[in-house]
Amino acid sequence: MTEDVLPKYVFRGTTIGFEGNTASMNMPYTCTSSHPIKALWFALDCMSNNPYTAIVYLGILDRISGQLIKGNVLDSIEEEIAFGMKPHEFYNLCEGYVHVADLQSIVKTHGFDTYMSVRKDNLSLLCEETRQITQDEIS
Amino acid sequence: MPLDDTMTLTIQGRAEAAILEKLSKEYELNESQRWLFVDYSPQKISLESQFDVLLEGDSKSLVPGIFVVKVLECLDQFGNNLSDIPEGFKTICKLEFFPEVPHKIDTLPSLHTWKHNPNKITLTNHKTINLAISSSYVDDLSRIAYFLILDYRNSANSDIITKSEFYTYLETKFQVNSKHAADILTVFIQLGKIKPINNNHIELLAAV
Repeated sequence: MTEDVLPKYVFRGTTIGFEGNTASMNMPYTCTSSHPIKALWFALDCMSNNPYTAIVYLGILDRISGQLIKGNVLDSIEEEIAFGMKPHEFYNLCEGYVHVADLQSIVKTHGFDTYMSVRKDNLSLLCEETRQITQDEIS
Repeated sequence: MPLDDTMTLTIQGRAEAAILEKLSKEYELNESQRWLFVDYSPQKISLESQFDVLLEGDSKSLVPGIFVVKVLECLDQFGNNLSDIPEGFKTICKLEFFPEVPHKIDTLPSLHTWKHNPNKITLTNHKTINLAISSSYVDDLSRIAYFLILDYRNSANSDIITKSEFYTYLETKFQVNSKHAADILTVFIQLGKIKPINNNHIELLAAV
């Protein structure tokens, strides 16, 4: 995925309805990734405290209309796309969410083994080592 | 990571003036201060928080010396000033070192963005440090424990057991405490080997 082309889909790995932290709510902004596997790593990290509600939200960029898209001015291994809205506003514009275990099963059929032990201290490495994915693969 | 229930901050590398310029921020530093790329924070950390232990690399070997490190400022990836280091955020932080900036900090790579660094520096505190168990140990234990748990399942004649039974079994077999038993359960769930049924029950699954 090149930096110049906006993706069709965005993904946010989190827990169901998570409001975000103070910074996300005050600015406000909601961070997502254009890469579903990278979003899945974040959701897996959420499992340690939230084993039943860790999920990945799916949004279609065109349908999140009228919202400022903020760019990370630094290179982003997460393939980050951030929206100038509170997380719960973003969730309302999403198509829905997929539970971690279901998404792990789905992406395995596409060659991504995501049955990994994920923590804050290996998130960066996992994101860096995750191969690129095409829009066709996501579709 | 080996530091359970402990305030930690992981430094991946140095942020030079050009990075702060990109974020439209002043680079201003005195000789005891540095701007540094900080990895995802496992907990919220207030400004002015202090650390007195430096650990190097993935192995987290102790960096000898007496240090005090204070968090002065915190920026997010858009250059916003944050009032603390939020849990789960990557940040660029201005840190102050006493009595001087350790050599290990100044020999960290100069980065353009956050990047995994096997020679990262982890900051923590003597008072709360707990080196009793490491994340790699939890991962290794999880691999061994899985087969024993399968045996346990066969003897119990059920794929569904209570969390309490699971914790007690691990605590008995491996002398781990309940926090570490819970960590192992999390790893099993991430690996797809256990499915949470409800708050009290889990289902043992065949290997994925």
